[in-house]
Amino acid sequence: MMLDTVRDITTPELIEIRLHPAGFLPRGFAFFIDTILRWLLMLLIAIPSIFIGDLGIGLFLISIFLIEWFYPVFFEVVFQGKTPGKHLVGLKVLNDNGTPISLSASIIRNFLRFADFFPLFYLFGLISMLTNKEFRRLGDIAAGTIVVYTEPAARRFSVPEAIPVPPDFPLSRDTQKTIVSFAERSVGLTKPRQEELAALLPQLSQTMHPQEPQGAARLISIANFLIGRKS
Amino acid sequence: MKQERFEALHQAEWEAFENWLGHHLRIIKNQDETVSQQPFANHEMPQRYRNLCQHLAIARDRGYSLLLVERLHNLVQSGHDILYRANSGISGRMLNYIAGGFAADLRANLRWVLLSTLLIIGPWMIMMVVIRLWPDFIYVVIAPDDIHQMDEMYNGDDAFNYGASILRDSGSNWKMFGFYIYNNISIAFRAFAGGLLAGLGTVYTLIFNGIHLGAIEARLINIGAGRNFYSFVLGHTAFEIGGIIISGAAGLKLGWSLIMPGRLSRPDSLKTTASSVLGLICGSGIMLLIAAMIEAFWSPHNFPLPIKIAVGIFTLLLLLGYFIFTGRRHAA
Repeated sequence: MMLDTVRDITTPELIEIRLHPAGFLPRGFAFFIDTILRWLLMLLIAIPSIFIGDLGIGLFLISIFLIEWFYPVFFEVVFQGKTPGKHLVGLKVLNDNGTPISLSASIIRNFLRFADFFPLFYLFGLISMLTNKEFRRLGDIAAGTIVVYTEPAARRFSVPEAIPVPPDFPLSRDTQKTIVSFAERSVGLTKPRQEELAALLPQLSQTMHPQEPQGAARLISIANFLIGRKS
Repeated sequence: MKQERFEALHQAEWEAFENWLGHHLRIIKNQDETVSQQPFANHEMPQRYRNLCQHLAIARDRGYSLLLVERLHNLVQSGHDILYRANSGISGRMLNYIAGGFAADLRANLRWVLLSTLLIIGPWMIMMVVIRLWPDFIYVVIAPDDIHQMDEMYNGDDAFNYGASILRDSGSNWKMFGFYIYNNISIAFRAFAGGLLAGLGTVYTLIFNGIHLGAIEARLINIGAGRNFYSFVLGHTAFEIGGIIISGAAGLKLGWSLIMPGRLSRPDSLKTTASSVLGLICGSGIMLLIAAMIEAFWSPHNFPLPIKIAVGIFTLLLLLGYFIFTGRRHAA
């Protein structure tokens, strides 16, 4: 049973893609990082422009304008929905049908930021995020976008090799899945932790025959049987 | 089929897809640390992607392990992102839009443009009349310090530091160019965003600007600086006020779609309207950019008043002609 907030998207191939919408706190962090980067960028432009007088002030004002309105648009469109802040926190923006964010959606969601900021410190945006079940701010609703967690790269574990052992009784599908998952992850767990987890399933991990493997080793053997390895 | 056999059967296919993704996304190293090369031609990708979708469906249905499902899911998602990316032909569409789509769009939203015009011109005209009749009323709408600053700026023969030349020094032109871009375009974009507050932000911005413009114009005529004032503003007025009116119209339409969503749900109505007015917003941004150029590099120059007036009328006719005559083929 999944307790996460999940949005299932059905693609034209009739396969479901799972998106995990990101809440207010990680988005806040991402925004904070972006704000600092923006200020640094402005500072970087301000210092040389002081030395070229009025022309410099003009160029500085133009760059402030561009940074204020187009910084997120640029990064979201060019870097697959990730501003530097979102990238560091592990978020990205997508269209709400799961496709990569388009230029127009990005412009809309970022131009409407002002309404989210209203009246002060993103109060409206915060209220909108807290009341929307996918944590969308007003700009997200109007642009049809959604901020989700980026999937971590899939881990490439596999079930460790062992002599396959059939379980003593038929197992339900969920149990089979659980055991195979445990076996796959066992590579990343310490030995005591493996035993600790195996002890939660005494019916399977303990056996009457003392010559056969016990505990975690037995669960791994069963997993080998379940995925169809031959001895 | 057991998971082991399923994996063995398709492993090579998945790895090829993974490598293709790595190559496409320009990741140098694959997960198995080999240098990424293109394992198959791009046109094979949709076919292979659909196979992968099928594998994921099978894996889910047969209850294979979570890690396998997760791996296939990630592959499918990356493939989906690449296959359904929608940014094709953007430059062509932009050219089309400039060549007439913008004008057609504007005509389609004429009532919002008229409403927006009314909201800015109405207070403007009222202020003109009120302050011409009762000059001291200006102190009600504008802070005294600002009034004195403005009086000094426009009064006198040498209103814009021309010195002996009729041209202003180019550095200060650039400074003002930057300021107009930063200030005016931000006002327009904020007027649009204010539409999301049920249109109230937009209405406020339009009326507020209308009052200010009318008050300032009347004040400068009252103190006898009318010649300087019109010489300065006429060249860019059409583009600047036009730009603000159009972004205001977009904001009003957005606000109305929130108040009266019709047969759509409010989020859907917002979404459709927001994407339908995007062109207007970008167009108004470009108009204000042009206005900023005129305002910074043409308006402050001390050419004879008739020339400045002629240029002002020319820009207005140019703009009206564009909005009335271009893009007729776009209208369905």
